[in-house]
Amino acid sequence: MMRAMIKRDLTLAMRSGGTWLYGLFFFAVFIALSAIALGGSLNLMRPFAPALIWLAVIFSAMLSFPAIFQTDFEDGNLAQFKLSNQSLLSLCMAKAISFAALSILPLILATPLAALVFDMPLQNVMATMISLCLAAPALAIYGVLSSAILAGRQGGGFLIVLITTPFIIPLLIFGVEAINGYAQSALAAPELRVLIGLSLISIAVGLPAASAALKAQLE
Amino acid sequence: MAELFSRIGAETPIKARLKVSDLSISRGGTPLFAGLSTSVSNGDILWIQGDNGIGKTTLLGALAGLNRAETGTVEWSADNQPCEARDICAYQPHKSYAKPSLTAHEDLTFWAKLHGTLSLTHHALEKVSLGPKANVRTQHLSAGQKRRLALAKLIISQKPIWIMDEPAAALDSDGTALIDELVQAHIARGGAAIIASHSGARVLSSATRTLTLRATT
Repeated sequence: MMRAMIKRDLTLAMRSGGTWLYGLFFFAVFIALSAIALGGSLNLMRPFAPALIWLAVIFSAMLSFPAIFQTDFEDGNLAQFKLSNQSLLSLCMAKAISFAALSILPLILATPLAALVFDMPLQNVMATMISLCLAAPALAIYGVLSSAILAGRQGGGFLIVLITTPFIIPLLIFGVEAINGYAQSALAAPELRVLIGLSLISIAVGLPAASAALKAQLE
Repeated sequence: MAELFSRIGAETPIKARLKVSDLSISRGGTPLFAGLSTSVSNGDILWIQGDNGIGKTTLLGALAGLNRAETGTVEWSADNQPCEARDICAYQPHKSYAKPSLTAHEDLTFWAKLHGTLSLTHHALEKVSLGPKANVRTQHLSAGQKRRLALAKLIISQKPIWIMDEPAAALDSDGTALIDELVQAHIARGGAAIIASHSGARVLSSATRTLTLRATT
């Protein structure tokens, strides 16, 4: 079932006329504007680069959060899903996987290009990409959770920022700190382990919470 | 027709029963009707009639377990055991829920995978005369063809109780005849149907009843 769901979401995205790439455009624009705002001096920008990339990824992902359940809720697919014998938990998991593939993976792949703008050393590029990869599950699941809570509510987009920010702060703290940790102890950096832990917590707590929110939403 | 259904479900449908006791429905704080009690079990057809805005759709939603009743209860049971609405009910909403950028076949296949009835998609599409349109994206289908696709989804759901909201809207006379035929075949193999319609009830089986909703005064 999860495979069918993921396949459908990927097909829909591919046929959406490129709307799934908006997040990537936002990411590029954010990086370009940051470079302009910091005056374009490489020596000044280099230390901030990982933090700016992290911010660009988080804002870009947040931009796509509301869409996770919105159309399925509006066109009645979510109600039909509830009447099928499939569990909402596996629906949430499928949504998290397709969100990670469509909205986070392209950003991680674009990170080396952003790194060129800031003239980041290779080691920092590696560290940023690894920390983003480890945080991706948590980011996707918090997106699914917030979208599940707010599907079908007016002004959901703004509330999503309010709801997800507290969850994302620890990711941001450890994600950016992991770049220093990686410089000292490579993959053994404790910050990377914390990121893995945060992702595991989001799987254990965020997914059931999201499916409970959907259940309440549909009644 | 009989051949299609024998292919579809060899086993007899479970003994399903939907019981409504003293149900009242309100929308936006305004009570629409109150004190509705009825029950539907295998072999029944229940037509629900009433003026626009009387709450037919809200009632169907409550029967399908999609929204909670204000007061009163809706109980679902399968083989005399209480169960959830999704175990016995299939719901066809008034609005099409086909994804515009998927083809009719892809859209139906997705739901067939969820219901575990993948082998039925081809026959279901043929049955509702969408065979030639199988590879057309649903955004290019007419309103009536989308209705037919929704009927195919009822067939593949393999649920005993069909809950249909204005199924005949936007359908030509062939389409209306198709609904009658599908419902009759569904009843014949032990299913039940609850149909909201303002175009009038048609007697499709010996156990046909009509429920007319009137506003609370």
